[in-house]
Amino acid sequence: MKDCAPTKGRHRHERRNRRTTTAERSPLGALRLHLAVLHPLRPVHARARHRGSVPESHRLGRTRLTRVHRPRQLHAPVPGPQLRRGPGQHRDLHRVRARRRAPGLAPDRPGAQHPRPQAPRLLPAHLLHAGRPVADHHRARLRVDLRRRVRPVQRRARSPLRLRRGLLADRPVLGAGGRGGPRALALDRLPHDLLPRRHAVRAEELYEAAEVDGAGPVRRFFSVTLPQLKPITAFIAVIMLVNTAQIFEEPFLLTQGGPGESTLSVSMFVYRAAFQRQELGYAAAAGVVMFVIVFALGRASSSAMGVGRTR
Amino acid sequence: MNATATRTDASRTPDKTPRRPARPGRIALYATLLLLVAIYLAPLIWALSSSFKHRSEIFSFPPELWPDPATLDNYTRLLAEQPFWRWMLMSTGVALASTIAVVFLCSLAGYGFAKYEFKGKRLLFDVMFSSLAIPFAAIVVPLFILVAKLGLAHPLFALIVPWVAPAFGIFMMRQYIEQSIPDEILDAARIDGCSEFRIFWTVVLPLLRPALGALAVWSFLGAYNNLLWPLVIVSEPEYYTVPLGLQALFGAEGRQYDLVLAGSVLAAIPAIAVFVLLRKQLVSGLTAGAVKS
Repeated sequence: MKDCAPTKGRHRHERRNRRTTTAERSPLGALRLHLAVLHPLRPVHARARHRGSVPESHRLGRTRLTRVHRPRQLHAPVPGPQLRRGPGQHRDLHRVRARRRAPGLAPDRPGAQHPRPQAPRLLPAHLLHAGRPVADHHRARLRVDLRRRVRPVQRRARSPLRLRRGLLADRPVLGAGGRGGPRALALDRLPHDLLPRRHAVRAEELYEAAEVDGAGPVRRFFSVTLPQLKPITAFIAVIMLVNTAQIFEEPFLLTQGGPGESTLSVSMFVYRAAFQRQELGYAAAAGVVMFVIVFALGRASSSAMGVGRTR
Repeated sequence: MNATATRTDASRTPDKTPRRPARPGRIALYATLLLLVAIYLAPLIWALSSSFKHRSEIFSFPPELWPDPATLDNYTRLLAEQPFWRWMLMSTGVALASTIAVVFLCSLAGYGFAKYEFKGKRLLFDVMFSSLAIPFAAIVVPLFILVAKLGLAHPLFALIVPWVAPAFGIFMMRQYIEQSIPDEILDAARIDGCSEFRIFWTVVLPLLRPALGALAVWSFLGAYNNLLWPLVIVSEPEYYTVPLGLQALFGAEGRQYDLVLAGSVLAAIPAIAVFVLLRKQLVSGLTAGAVKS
């Protein structure tokens, strides 16, 4: 569940100081954030004055990104081909702004060559789709899905493997075939590293995705509910283990440990040794041995469930 | 479905109810559930009905659901021969006192762990959390010696004080506070000039109500049902709690099952009452802190 855990800065102050963006609060926003990250031009801003600078085709509906966090390495401008501007062509907005900020510093000669931010061309393989950056791929589909509001088609996944693969990999996979609608498309194709952590997918979305993929109620329980509950289940398993190991009342009241010693529990043994036979040290030793065994069992059970720390 | 989802999904089919299982499946389901309920309820019903039976008929086989000569004899004898009300007073008193302390201290500690930064917090929390895995049998002897040597072995003290800050309660409150109380509220209170304790008392505590209810039920029932520790620490009969008194009925004159059953039925009343009163909080509070979303 590591990937679905809520965002935690390594230090608390980091978490506290971090502003959440709209992008981080909804899957759609995540997609937009993602697009903004990979986008060749500037990120898509909501503020009206920026609107004009973004070509229509790059605007995603009523985008509301107030603040965009971009991973440094992706944002670092990659030198693209030098573009030659023809005479009379409208001025580049970057340049205008640069000149306003620092007059005299920005190159102002007509016909000057400006490096333009271009799509990073050396992308890691998982960001490529059919040889093109994932962003382009998204944009093409998004224009259909989001802006023209084409009705998304619900289809079952071609292979149940897809669902399983996604769920086992602990990454949110929605509409695993990528055809469950815009949101499904978004999260399915998004490289997971770029998803903000708090983007743990909401439960009903997981169920929805599983249902779209043709999982029945039983399958949904085993493939969605149980993995989601894993941390808390491990915790409860350990607690139950400890509680059950120290059973005392039932044998004490019903059988007094008998017949013989067949129902003698450790707690009862300790009680008898300490408070009936007055062998306090002996009883304490028995208690310590029990603790060691129970503790080892607890660790084993919680790590067997794939949870390193029980919290 | 939040707002985003509904907006983008507007074109989808609106009904999201899962398909109902086929009829025979549903019947089988209910049959299984009823069977389970019967199994769980059987001991209670047996205890209730047997508490009205004569001693010789309690273990007649097959057990009769309805006591044939129903008699209140067991109850009158129990109340006449044994200081049952005293046990009851002791039990409920101890349970209430420790519950109040538990609720207060656990929420305070959980609040500290959830919302403050201090040196050694991680270490402290890990120690506290690991102590959940320590069985009571492992510490009963050292605890007894500690309490005895410190001269604190008076039952009224020793029955309450060792249990006022259980690790489970602290952990639960910390989880709940971390998830349900935003830092912004605390900052707002700070800006308004609240002292740190006042923030806890007037802002945090009221927001904790569901979790507090759950913790209160858990702690009350735990203290009320506890047998081993009172057995160890209480030697004078005038400080017996209910479980202690009932197990004493198994002593000298053989096993007086009739009295024990009557006592158990009476003793169950406060526990059930607490549970029913706080049931809503118990359910919502336990689940609210349970799953990180």
